[in-house]
Amino acid sequence: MDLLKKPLPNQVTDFTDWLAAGAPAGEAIKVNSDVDMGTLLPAALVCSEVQVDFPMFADGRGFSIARLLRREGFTGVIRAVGDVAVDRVSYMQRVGFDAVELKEGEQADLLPQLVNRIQVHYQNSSDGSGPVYKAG
Amino acid sequence: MYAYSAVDQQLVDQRVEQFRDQTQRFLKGEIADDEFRVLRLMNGVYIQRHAPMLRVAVPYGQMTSGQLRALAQISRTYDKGYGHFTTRQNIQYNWPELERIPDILADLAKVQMHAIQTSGSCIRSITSDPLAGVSVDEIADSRPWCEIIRQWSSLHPEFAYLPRKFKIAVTGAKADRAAVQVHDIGLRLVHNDEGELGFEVLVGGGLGRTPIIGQVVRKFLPTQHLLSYLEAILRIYNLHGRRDNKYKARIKILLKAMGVEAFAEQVEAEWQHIKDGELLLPAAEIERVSQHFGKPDYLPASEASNDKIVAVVDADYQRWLKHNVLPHQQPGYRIVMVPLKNPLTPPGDISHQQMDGLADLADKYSFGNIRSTHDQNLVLAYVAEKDLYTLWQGLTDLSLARANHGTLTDMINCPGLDYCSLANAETLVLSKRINETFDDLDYLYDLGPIELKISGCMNACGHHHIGHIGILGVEKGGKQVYQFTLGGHDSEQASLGKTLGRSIPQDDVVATIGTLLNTYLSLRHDISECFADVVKRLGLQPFKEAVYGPAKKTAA
Repeated sequence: MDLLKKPLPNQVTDFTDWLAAGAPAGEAIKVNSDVDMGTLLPAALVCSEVQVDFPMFADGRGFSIARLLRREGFTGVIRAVGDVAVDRVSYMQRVGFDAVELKEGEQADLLPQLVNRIQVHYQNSSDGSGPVYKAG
Repeated sequence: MYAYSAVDQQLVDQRVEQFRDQTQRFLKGEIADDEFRVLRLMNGVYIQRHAPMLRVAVPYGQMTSGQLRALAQISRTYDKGYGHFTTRQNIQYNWPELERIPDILADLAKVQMHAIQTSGSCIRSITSDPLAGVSVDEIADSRPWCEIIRQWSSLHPEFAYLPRKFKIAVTGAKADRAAVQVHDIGLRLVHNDEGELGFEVLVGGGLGRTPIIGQVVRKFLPTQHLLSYLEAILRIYNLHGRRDNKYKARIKILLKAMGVEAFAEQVEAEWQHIKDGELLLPAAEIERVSQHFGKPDYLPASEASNDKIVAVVDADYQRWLKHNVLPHQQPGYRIVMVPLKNPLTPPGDISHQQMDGLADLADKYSFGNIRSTHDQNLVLAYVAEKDLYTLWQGLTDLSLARANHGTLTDMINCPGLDYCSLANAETLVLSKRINETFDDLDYLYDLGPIELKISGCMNACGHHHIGHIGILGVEKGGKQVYQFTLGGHDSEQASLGKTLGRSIPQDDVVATIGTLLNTYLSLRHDISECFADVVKRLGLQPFKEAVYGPAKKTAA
């Protein structure tokens, strides 16, 4: 499963600390779900990876954060971290996440079958031409 | 009526198997309770007071006779032989077993139905005008747009974990029969000065603990931009809606905090990024969906109409004709309201025999089409005048011809404490007593159109804020008491009721309604001035004095 194979970066810097350090290029950063998108979007493009934290599963802000990062042109890794369960990964993949770090106790072996369980997606028409929210 | 494409069918079928797998893993203990809760809610499954409850989507209130028969069959096979139509045009089963719900969903998928997103903090099933395509005051048919929104919102990956539930209603008529002003997003089909069709977009309406009338964020949205504009609103809400307090998490609170201008500016800015992108609706797609909602094969007016039928001398039939039958945009045809307000059963309840019987009548007399309304009734929307009398006889045999449409006893009721785990007070005992007390049809007709709406808790599923008379059940010191609000309205000029005064004990509720009605009758100019109009003209004072004052009158 590709989503689980992306190697973890050696070092991850909190977004605000990374900004304070002058936003060095090529680093991996971690953002909270209440991150200000106006600040994040232009800055994050130089990063190698953005980790989006899901503080609790009901907090769905991370889905929009990933979507907007991809729209802005971010081509690095977007990794979902925090409260991440196998049953939510298919939606994560569709909004632009290409890596996930499952929370403890999740059955990672189920992931390949779960992310492909629904193989058709609605976009602006239902002609079956594929998902509108292409990852990466 | 929309018919599924192969893609639509595959999506619903695979969704069933996804939920079957999730349910099995939950029952084996492999998914935690709180995790499964969210998954089941997005598939319409609540855990209620007595048993799970399954809420099945009736998208924008449209059903075929085959679908209604399938709903009847499900109630026989998996439940207690009846279903309950809700204020959001859906149908609920109160007694299914969790283990069998995947089988119910599979049965539904066979007739192109589902329970996707009928609950949970996501975009709920779309509601609309039950008279779309047939009403005399129609601007444009709302159904194609509802179907387009249904598809876009179904399994939308970005908006499945919103701060709170999200409800969208669409109307295409001058009169508002979809309560668009009390939805998270209300869409009104309108023409601009150039005669082009578009939407007036309202945001931030809602009932519940903080009832608010929606505000216009855009006066005219060209139809091809519908989805991108909705997506922009949802994205702003998903990122900025409050998540720290579930009672402040609806979009209405965000709109209030930001102010409507600032909110509209943010939506507009986001929309500029996406308006001409992949969500731009191609004319061919609009046309493809619209073709499903064409006119049925109407008979010519000369064959459809029959003056003699209208002149049948039967007092009950004449009453029904006057109150339950509405004019139609097609000459020779009528719209027939089918109230689910039997005095012996909760409002909105329908038995499996009634469902089967009504499906047969719809096949014979209404092109196999049945609609559900937000006031918990059903509609046969395509009845030729020549068939009215025979249809009335058939409906009478099914106990579905009670001529109380639009009257006091055509009330809206949530299920209340008898079924719902959220409720604080009983509601069904009230509707039963109201039916027993106000059983004289001539008295009801003399009252004129009056909207009585009852909720068993602050979540306001019974829409009490927009009832001419609204009743909210609360628990105080271990007793069930009821707060009255007066003067609410759910029409195109929506308004919220104002609180009458201190709560009324359960045993005095019916007498209080009687006092309010007598006060209204003594104050109104004539029958054309409805209850809400009198409250608007004179305020609450005369009603307060009648109910609480020293010279308290007794009930009718």
